[in-house]
Amino acid sequence: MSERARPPCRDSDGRDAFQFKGRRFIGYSLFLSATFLLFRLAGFREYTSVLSGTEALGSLQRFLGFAYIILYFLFAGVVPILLIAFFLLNAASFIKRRLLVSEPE
Amino acid sequence: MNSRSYSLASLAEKFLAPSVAILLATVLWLPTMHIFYRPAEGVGPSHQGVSSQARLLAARHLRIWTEPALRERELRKMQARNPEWDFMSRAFLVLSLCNMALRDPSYQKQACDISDVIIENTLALEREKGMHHFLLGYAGRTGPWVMQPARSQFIDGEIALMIAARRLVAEKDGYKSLLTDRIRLMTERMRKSPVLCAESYPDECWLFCNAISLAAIRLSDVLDGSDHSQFLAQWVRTAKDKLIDPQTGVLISAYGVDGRPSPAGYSPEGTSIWLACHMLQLVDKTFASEQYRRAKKELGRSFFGFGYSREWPESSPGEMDIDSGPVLPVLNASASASGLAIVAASAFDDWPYFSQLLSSLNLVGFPEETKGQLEYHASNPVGDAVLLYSLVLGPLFGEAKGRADQ
Repeated sequence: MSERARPPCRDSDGRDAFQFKGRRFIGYSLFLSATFLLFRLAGFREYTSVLSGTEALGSLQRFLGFAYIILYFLFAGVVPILLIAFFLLNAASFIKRRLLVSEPE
Repeated sequence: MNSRSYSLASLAEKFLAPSVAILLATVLWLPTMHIFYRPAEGVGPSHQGVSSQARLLAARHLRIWTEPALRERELRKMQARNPEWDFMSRAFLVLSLCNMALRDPSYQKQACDISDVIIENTLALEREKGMHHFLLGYAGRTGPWVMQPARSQFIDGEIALMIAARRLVAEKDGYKSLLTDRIRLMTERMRKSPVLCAESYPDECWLFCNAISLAAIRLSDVLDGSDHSQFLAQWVRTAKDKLIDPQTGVLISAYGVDGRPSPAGYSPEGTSIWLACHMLQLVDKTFASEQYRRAKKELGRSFFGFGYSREWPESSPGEMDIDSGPVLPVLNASASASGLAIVAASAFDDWPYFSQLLSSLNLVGFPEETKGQLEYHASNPVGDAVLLYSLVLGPLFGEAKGRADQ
């Protein structure tokens, strides 16, 4: 199977347009955030009382409680890392591109 | 090299660059994450009046004690899980309410009314069901109580402290004799032990309970003009001599009536020492500060700006039990010890540690504010009452000191 070349995107000056790198980081972040938000809006935060052991929770509620806790830590700990990584990757790429452009031919 | 093969440059671009970016992002995020969980300014007890967080936290407890149906449900749940929690949540709530009343006089009537309901309900249960109602099951199963007739310093000490705190806010008919009788009983029993401590469980004297009792004795001296200063000084001398762990210099947690370290708490424990050093502030301020300093060195920790407490020092690791609560592996962070560390950090004006501990609580406590009430889902009523106390403590002991100085 032959590879199809992606048509080059050009900006108004005729240069190749900046291509964002690491877009999957944004994809993962959006997925995690949306899932967490869904759990939050559904009121599953209440089931985190599974940690204190004072509430008599059913097995589904316990499962949802633990799922919420995992999603919460992914949202609080991993999503910011993915977003910062996306920013760093593209900042580096942007700087590299600017340096290459500014080099005399 | 054909067009399909990866050059080193494309490999680097595909795998190395994202990996380095993730690594750098982790290095940037982890040390800064705690900033987003820091407690708001003015949450600590140095704040004048009662902070909004304390008001919100108190609101739920006040509801429990003003709505009989909710109270019955909540207390039944606590009793089923751990009768000690039921009892301790009462004591910490009364202490909190009394401090709030002294901070903000508009709270005084409500604080006194609710404290009276709690004290009278507790005394009624003690009369009707006996001390075992608030003790763990093993109180009735293990060996005999050394001191006869059997009494628990856990119960006596906290009831005495509740009554003394209530009386410091406003005097109440009938409470004076209730306090003096209990203080007499406690001191008589404590004097029978070579380490001046009475048992909370059969042949188990707990530092936690005896330190609370000492604070109650001191408050009763302030209230009623009695003088136990010799006894209190002797207690401190004895403790320094016989109850200090030689490796850490921190008071051990549990011991027999004869002072032998008990298997239940042969070493220092976060769940005992943090509150004990706060209570000892009323007895011997220098000794209390020294114990706090040593306990902080042995048990106080932080991880990327999030504070926590170990339950046991590294030199004498223990096993998870009902007191330690869940202990996080690797870090050895104990939920219960960390909760009580907030009280100590607050009492000893250790704001950096206090702020770190509250950051951890904000991260893992799952706080939720609804209908003007603040609840930590990962906590329970005793945890919430301990936290509330740590946010408002100060004026009660200050009032006692002020009256003693007069």
